[in-house]
Amino acid sequence: MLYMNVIKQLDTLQLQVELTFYQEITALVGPSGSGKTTLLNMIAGLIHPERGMIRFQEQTFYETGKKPIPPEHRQIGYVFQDYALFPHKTVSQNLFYGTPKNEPWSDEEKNELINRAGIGHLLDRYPANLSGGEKQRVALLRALFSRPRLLLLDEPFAALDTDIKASMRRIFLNVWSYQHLPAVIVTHDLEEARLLAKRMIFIRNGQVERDEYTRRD
Amino acid sequence: MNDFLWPLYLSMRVSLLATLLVALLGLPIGFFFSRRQFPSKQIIETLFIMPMILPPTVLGYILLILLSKNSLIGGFLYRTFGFTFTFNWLGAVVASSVVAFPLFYQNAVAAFLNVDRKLEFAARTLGKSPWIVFWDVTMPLAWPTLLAGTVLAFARALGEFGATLMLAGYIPGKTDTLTLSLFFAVANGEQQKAAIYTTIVFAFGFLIVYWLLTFSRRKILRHQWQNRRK
Repeated sequence: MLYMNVIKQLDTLQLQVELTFYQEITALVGPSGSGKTTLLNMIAGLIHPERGMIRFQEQTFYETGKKPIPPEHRQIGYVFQDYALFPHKTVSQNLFYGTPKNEPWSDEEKNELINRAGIGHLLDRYPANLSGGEKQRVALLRALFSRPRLLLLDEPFAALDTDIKASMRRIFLNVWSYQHLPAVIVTHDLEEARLLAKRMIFIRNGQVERDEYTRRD
Repeated sequence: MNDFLWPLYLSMRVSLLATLLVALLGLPIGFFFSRRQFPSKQIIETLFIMPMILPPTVLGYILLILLSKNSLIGGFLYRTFGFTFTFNWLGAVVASSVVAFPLFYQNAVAAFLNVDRKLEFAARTLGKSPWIVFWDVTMPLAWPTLLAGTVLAFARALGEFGATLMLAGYIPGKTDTLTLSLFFAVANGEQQKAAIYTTIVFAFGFLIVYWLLTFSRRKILRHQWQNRRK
């Protein structure tokens, strides 16, 4: 379970939310500039709130007045909006960059995930030579191969053409179902949120506007 | 060593040492200034860049005031270690370092600013410490611009004249760098010597600028090619 109760002053608004995330896919839905990505960045430890608390399972990531846990010790998989693949590393080097040395993946597990994502033929390529959909799948798998306890996805399908979005969402659910990690997806696409998430939290002007469960199980 | 070759050897030694010093200082400073905002940043950056626009004699005079035996810093060094930068080849290293620093610093800041911070963030979320991220992600992406900065700094150090003359002086066999020797060769009417030194400095400068231009162009072409393939 992830609990956060935070206050953060942004350029044009004050972000003030109290949220609890469970073992499921939750979508943070809202217009651009409403503070959704800021919430993800705070969970990941890339930025810090002005005050509040962020706790995941038994670990307190952030608490006012205390030293926050740095991102590298949070075990969070983050899929960035523009994927943030390392351009100087091959797909294969990208994929296993974050794999903990003391918890390596077996070849069987690796192949299973790579096949589910359909990127087996891309392993020796560099990110510059991948399509948007391919990059998206590599970024998702790179996050999963780091053995995260929680998955964060920032508009993972926003940069893709409409005709491949549907297949990318299917692949995402197929890959995600391998581990069933708790996941938080930021999106401004309501349809996408309904298709992927079990729960939708609507954020507007830095506040939680609505919190509801979708029909998806 | 042969009187004719000595200035060339000394200039190389001074320039290499100055470049090393500039790179060792400029790398962490450039990285810090590219990543942090703080109130006095602009003032400090202005001071870093000043040697580029200050007349070399002014710079040399400032260094002389700071480092002479009668000054606070120079006096301390002399009393404690019996060592002085004035009228010493190490004074030439200091003068060259000061004039070369802005060139390296500016390239270093540009190099680090060009590295997408999201890549560094991504590496942090993948379990890597800031130190590992710097060497694994930041440096491999920043090195072409850093290398260009290093080469420019070296070329500037090699061409340094005014501040070196003020601080290290012209002592044949001790502080007579290539550019100082050229000046005094002309003053003494040694035209052949002056012509050879000029040719060496000119050829070296030409090679560096030519390499920088082709190197930068290759980088741009590669970048465009990568964008086309996206």
